[in-house]
Amino acid sequence: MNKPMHPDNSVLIRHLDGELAGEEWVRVDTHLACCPECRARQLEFRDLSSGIEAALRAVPARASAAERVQLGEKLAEAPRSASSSVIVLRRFGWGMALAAGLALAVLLAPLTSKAPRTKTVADTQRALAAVSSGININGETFIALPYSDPALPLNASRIVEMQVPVSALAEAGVAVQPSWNGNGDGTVAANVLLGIDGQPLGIDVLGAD
Amino acid sequence: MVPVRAVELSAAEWDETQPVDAANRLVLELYDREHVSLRRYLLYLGVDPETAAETLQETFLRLHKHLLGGGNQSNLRAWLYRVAHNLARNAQTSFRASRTGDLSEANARQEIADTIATPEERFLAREEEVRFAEALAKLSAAQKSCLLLRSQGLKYREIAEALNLSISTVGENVQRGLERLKELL
Ligand SMILES: [Zn+2]
Repeated sequence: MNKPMHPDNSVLIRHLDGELAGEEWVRVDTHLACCPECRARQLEFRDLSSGIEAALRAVPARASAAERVQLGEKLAEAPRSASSSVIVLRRFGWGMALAAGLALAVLLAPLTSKAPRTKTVADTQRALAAVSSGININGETFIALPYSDPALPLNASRIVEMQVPVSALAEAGVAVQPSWNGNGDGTVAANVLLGIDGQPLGIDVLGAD
Repeated sequence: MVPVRAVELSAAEWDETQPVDAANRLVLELYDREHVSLRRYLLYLGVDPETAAETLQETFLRLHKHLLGGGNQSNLRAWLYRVAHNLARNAQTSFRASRTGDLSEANARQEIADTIATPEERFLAREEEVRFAEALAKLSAAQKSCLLLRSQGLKYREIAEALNLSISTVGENVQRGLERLKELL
């Protein structure tokens, strides 16, 4: 067996920092196990890193208690009636996520022609079907959305109840039910499953079966 | 390196019926947890202590707005560093370190001594730490920022987000910065 090439500094440092993906990590890890030279080189970078941490910790950064009190006071002055704006802005945030997701959906959509096309609901519906048919969490079934990477682990996901515009769901390729217009303002209450990356991973429209 | 995980909010912590209270609580919680690291980062970049204190106040007030506005909560730590970094940069038209470029060793030593308050602390500033500070002062601003944020446990993706760089540029800055330190020390 040929002795494999020594990984360069960049690779050794990214290995040290946990920044290598599966296959590359295994390759470097295997190499390090049998190459004392590279182990020594990586150790030097590790010691340098510890030195930076120590130098940073040596900077005294004590805050006066008054600073925290001041911050607390400023926070207390914040408008008390933020609730309605929260919902509006959350909707906006959701819209942004959908916009970002649509780009992904277009990438995922099977291309039937090579010419660039504008995105259509049909595209995103196909993309959705490709992602998954549904996600089951503790007995609750979520319709998969194409915005969060389905390969990310589910255990760090969170479920947030929010008002979601029905039109946004239609754009995302979700088959909208006539009964989903319950709020009368074009939104519907739903549990949204957010992936570890903060993007919607699935949706369960409340009161719909 | 001790990896510090990004702060994650669970739906349980975020009380939808009391968003203002929930936001206040979370902001103060994050302040308690992060202000020392953030302040050190700013001081190390050459921001004077008063500007650092003002920057932190403004940063956490903006965090409050960000939370109430339903902003992305998936990586609040990187968010804090990005906002603090940009606010401080705007407050001081340029960081001292980047203005003077390569600080002389005497300057770097003096800078460390200046930020240290009491005689005991001056005594405690070990030779080793001073040597590192001197070497770090000779790196480019981007290399220094990347290495400092990395030493706070931020992943490359988070550093990239905080400094508005690409992930591969962060990797390059970390590598070149460490290689330069190795030569200098
Ligand atoms: Zn080797």
